[in-house]
Amino acid sequence: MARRLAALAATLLATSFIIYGAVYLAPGSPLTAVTGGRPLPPATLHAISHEYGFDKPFIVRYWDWLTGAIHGDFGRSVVFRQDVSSLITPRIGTTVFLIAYAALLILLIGVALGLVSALRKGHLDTAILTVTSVGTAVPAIVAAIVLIWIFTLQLGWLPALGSGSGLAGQLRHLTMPAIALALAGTAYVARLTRAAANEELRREHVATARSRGIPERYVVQRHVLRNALVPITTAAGLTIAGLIAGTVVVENAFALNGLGSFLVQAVGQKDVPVVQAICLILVTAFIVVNTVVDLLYAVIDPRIGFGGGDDR
Amino acid sequence: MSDDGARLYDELLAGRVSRAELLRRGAAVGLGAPTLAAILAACGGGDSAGSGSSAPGAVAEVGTAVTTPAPTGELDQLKWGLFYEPGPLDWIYDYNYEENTVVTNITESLMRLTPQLSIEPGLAESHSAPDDLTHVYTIRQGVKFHDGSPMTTADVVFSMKRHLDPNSYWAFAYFNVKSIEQTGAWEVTVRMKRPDVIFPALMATPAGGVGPQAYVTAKGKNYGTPTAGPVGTGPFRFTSWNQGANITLTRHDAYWDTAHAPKTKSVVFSFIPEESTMTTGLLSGEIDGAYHTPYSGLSQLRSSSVGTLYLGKSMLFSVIYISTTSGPLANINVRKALLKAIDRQALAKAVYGGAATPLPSTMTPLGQWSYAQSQAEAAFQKLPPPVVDLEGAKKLMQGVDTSGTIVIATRASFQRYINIASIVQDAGKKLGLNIQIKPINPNDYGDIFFSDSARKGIDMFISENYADVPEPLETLYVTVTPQPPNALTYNYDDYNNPSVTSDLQKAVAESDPAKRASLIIAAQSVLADQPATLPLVSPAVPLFLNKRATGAPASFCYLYYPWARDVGAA
Repeated sequence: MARRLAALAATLLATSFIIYGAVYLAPGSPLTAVTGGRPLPPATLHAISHEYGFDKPFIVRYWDWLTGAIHGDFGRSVVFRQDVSSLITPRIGTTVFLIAYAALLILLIGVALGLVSALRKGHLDTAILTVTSVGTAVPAIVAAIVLIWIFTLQLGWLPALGSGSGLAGQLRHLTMPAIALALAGTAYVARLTRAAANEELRREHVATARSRGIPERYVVQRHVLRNALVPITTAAGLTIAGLIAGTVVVENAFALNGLGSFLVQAVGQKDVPVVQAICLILVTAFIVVNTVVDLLYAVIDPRIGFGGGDDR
Repeated sequence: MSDDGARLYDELLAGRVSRAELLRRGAAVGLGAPTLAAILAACGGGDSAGSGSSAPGAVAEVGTAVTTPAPTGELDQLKWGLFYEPGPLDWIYDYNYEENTVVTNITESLMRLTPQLSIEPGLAESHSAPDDLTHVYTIRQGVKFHDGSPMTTADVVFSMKRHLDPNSYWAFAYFNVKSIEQTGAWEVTVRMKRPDVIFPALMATPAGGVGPQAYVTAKGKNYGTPTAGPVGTGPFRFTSWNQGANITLTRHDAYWDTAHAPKTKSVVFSFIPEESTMTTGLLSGEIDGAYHTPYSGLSQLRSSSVGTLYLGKSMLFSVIYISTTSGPLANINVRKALLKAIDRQALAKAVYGGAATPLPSTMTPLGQWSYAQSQAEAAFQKLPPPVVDLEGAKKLMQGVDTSGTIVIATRASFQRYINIASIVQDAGKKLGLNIQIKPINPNDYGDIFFSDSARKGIDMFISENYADVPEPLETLYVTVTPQPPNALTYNYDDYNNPSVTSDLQKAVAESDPAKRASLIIAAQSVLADQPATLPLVSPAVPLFLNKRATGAPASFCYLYYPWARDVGAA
């Protein structure tokens, strides 16, 4: 565990430096975003540059940021003139809810569709295969536009914008975004589950089990699903980790106050402390999800030890 | 029915005005909603108010609306769309669309922009200029801040002095100010280093904003952020800021301007950066209205039965700034020829969905004239009209060396600028000019306005700009005359025509409006012949209001007028 924590810290340090450097080296200043491109007189530009330390060399600014961050001070947004932590805290909830909701959809619907497809050959299998083929190819933004057109403009069932408040409100507001976010991943996991289950169904131990007259339910549970879980977990884990990046598009399309839409805005405005903080959160989340997947392997198949060879 | 009403009714029957126009003009001449409803009912038809204006001639009416029909009752909540989340609502940092759209309802200024785009007293009861170097403001008595404290003359002096710190985005307004002093119990005197008629006009913007000294000082650098919300004298008080999602304002019951007491209990501003989502939100009724609705959704909004799209009077102008002192564009005849070859009518239709009017050879739309309007309009009509004159253009190009390339910068992925650039490129091709389009990363486009190095290798660039106040000099003066090194400027090609410079320098010091107008108009006609920029169109203000709400002014005033106070139930 200590090794993993050290690796996390090293990754974060390297990431922070790379992001800081990238945003710093790109031309442009946050001031142009703040005034909508309208010029300010030189005296004002100087005063603001000085206040935010834009006039200091890169390495000094990075060091200032790093020492601050270690003490829990992630800097001050130039655009909002607020501490970054106070800007980010209210937005985390929406993003976490959205990703959890989408992950749940992917796991439940994806795995269920895949298993049904593998076990029920024929028209149902073909239908699921067709639908999931299309599903993997639909980008979240397209899904969002289509969903809004159907459920908001035509049927008037679901709201197209905002995150809602309270559990019921959040469910109502985040259902369409979660579906848009989960669509491609669900289709992918379904196809992968189908393939993994088919693979297991062809194995000798399944045939042996069946020939011994073991009920089909047990065959599927013990012999098929159990063994297919490793590839399914890998695929689902990667897909869910990938959702973190997908939130950027979906949050913007549904005007949600999440980290993804905030990141888009902050990059556009060159608001370095905000970009930095959100990227580090996303990187941490990505690493955590992958670690959880590793832990799950150990549970699913005790032969795979946790933290052993880092060969994945 | 009044005479005005009867005339409108006749025009409507004759098909000369659309239903939307009827509502606009009806409201403008003071017809009540019942009268208008009666007219509409008499004409029959249930289609939306905005859908009737498809006649080609209707374009001329774009950009004329200043008001919307008066409300008939109170509204509990108004849901408004903003196209981005505002920065801090501290007036000294509010220098862009949505910050001003919100803060103008909270923090009022000494003067005020009106829906008709003129300037009237606000927190100052009156303004006088005993001489060119002195401005005296008599402060209104009995005004209360949202925290209950009375507004004092000391608050006014404190607020104005905040702009003397160069950190203020409005510091440029005070460039010529020498001192700000309290000179009586309710009197503030501003003394100038040199005459500057733009200064008193800018007091209608946050440059003249007033906040409570005690509260602003106590909150320090957090003033105006969600943790230390803004406090002003306006019709609405700051209530909450749900970061990333919305801002809520609540009616200020002790609002001093009782003749304009707000008719809406609370206003919720939602942040909707995605254009298609904004359009959807308006069509689905999740939001009641928005200013500056996306051009991509104009046709959907126009034909919607959910509400009405207004195209209001504006001070906006789309222009190409020239940022080179060498190459073909340094030749005045090339500029003139290129302008003659650019199809500004087609540009207004294709790029702005018809929600813009082509500009003749001036970057000053008529909306910027709050004085000498008939004089300005007559001069406007005499300018070279915005029609393509390829023959005339080619004549100007005779003997001109067209070798070398001209680089026009556009904001990458910003469709309007990309379309404008290709229209310009096309016009250049007809004249034998090789115009290259250089897409600039959207995040860096603003830098072109700020830094010399960002303009390197760029001969011209596109801008949608606006005047803050209805004073043509505000944008014209800093664009076409040489400015001191530490002043705000848009003069990127070192333009200096002796007669223009002399006229405009006199105009900036001329307190008599009629004389000032003559000087500006003289400079304008020289500029039409010796262009400093390539003026394209004046975009109107697109405002959408659904059927629940009405009363919001339709003009560009929404940045500096407490517009939400006029909104109520339809």
